[in-house]
Amino acid sequence: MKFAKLSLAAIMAMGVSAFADVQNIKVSGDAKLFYSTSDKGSNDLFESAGAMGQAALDLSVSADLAEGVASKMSVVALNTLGLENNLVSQVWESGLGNQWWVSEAWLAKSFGNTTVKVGRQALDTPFAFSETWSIAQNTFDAAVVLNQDIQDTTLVAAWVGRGNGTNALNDATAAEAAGGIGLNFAADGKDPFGTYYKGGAYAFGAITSAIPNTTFQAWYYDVVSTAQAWWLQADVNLKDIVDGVSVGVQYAGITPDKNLFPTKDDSSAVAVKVSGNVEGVALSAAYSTVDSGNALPIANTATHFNQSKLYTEAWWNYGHVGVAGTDSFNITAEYSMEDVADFGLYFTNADHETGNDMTEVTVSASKTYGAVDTALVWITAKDSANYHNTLQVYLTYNF
Amino acid sequence: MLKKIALFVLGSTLLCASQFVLLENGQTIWLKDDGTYEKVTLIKRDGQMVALKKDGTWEVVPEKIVIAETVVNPKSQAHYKAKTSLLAKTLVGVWKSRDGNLIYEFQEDGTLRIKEKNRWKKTTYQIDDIDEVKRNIVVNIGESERLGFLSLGGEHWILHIDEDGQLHNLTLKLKIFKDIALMKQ
Repeated sequence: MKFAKLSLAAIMAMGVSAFADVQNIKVSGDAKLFYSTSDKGSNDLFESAGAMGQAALDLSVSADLAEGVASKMSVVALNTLGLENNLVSQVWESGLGNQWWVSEAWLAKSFGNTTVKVGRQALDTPFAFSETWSIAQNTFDAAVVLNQDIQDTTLVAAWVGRGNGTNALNDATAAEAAGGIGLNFAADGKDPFGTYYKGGAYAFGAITSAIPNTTFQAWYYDVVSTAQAWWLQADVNLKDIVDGVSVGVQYAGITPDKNLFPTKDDSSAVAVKVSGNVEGVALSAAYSTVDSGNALPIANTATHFNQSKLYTEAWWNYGHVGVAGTDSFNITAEYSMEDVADFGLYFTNADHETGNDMTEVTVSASKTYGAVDTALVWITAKDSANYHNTLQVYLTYNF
Repeated sequence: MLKKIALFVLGSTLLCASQFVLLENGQTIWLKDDGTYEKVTLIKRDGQMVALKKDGTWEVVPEKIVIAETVVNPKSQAHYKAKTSLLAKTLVGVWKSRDGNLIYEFQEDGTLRIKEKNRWKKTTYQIDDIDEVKRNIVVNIGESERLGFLSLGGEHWILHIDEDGQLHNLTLKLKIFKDIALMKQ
């Protein structure tokens, strides 16, 4: 008995000792309920045929492990709550069945000025990024190395092996047929993560603020056997000339692999933006133009060119501003009225060389009540002959 | 606990004449000559720290107040570090990125205001750990509950204040792969 007690004490002591190396353990998450209704086509607002809704639960655990290793693991679960039986006919992430997957599971460690982050993670780079507009963001199985040996400069090297955007369809034709909207096979009980196109992707970037009042970034991508892409961007704060005013310039291009896309042309885009603050209202105006031709869009490769990082990107109707032969402009006004709400007004026009132009006006109001983030959004858009309206409600309970 | 306090009283009496001790939980106590102790409330008056005693009297606290060195638990240790660390004191104030798009406002009462993407957000913060050598501060943002070693809600930020006095959010850098330097205003 004594021996048993001693063993138990020893085990407990070992456990405590082992656990002592784990610090800053954080358990957090959120529960979301998103609803959208549209009168597009023959539907009326609040009619189930033009509505979509879904609930999500995110649960994350992060901790600092031994030897200065940071870690995080997140699980996301989606459920329709049975809304499809009466209120809605579509969901934010495809599939009506219950679905869950590990959305993040990574370790990170710094060695001097170099940090290595390996595992499933969200990415934020111009041509491969996690889109956060949906109820669940797309993530990547990737390895990222950051280095800051050069003052005011971060060098990035990344390898992306898999993702759960439309890239999971590594057959580009099938991905193209899917229309660029994120696909997710978790609803069918399958692994939602698939090879990033044909054989993964490599990305190299440099972000520097060494030039006074300027943040400059340059990126190069090799999406194996699919495309090469590059992105240059300079954001300049003109505070020495006009206080509170900034300008930005983007220049990006994509070259498709001729074996995979034998009929596709090279494509490039230029965008400019001026932003400032007037009486507390953050204003910006942006213009972009994309080369004509039969080319791949200047947009997120992770979701097969759905959302774009061009300054002119619309609030809701993605897949337009980056399309070849398109001139777009965007005007944004945002006002944060403290203790009341945050308001936003967004206007986007995409003038396509071929096909219907897209015009969108979005008005948003968002407010946080304790642990609950709420947002109400009204969108009026035209991407064919008629204007249509969309009303969206976003509820997120943070815990 | 009483034994620790008694030993501490003895040690303090031998080593230092001061009658006031700052405990790790941030509480200041007055060590009386009769071997008992009393919690006091500190106020600032004419630039001096004054201790308000329960009997209605007050006394000026010496500048070099003795700080208790025993460790009660990790949380009180962090609290103690946060109260006494110069690095932690530096954190309080307004920090702004060069382009003004990112602003952190750490207030003394534990309130944190964040401006990001043209929106202000108000939350809470507390310092969970400090590494003076690396000049890193682990800040617990928006914690809703704590169950022992588990912190529930919000997120941990690792903030680095470099020798030039610039603040870097190392946690944010891991997310967006950009190192945004914030200057104290």
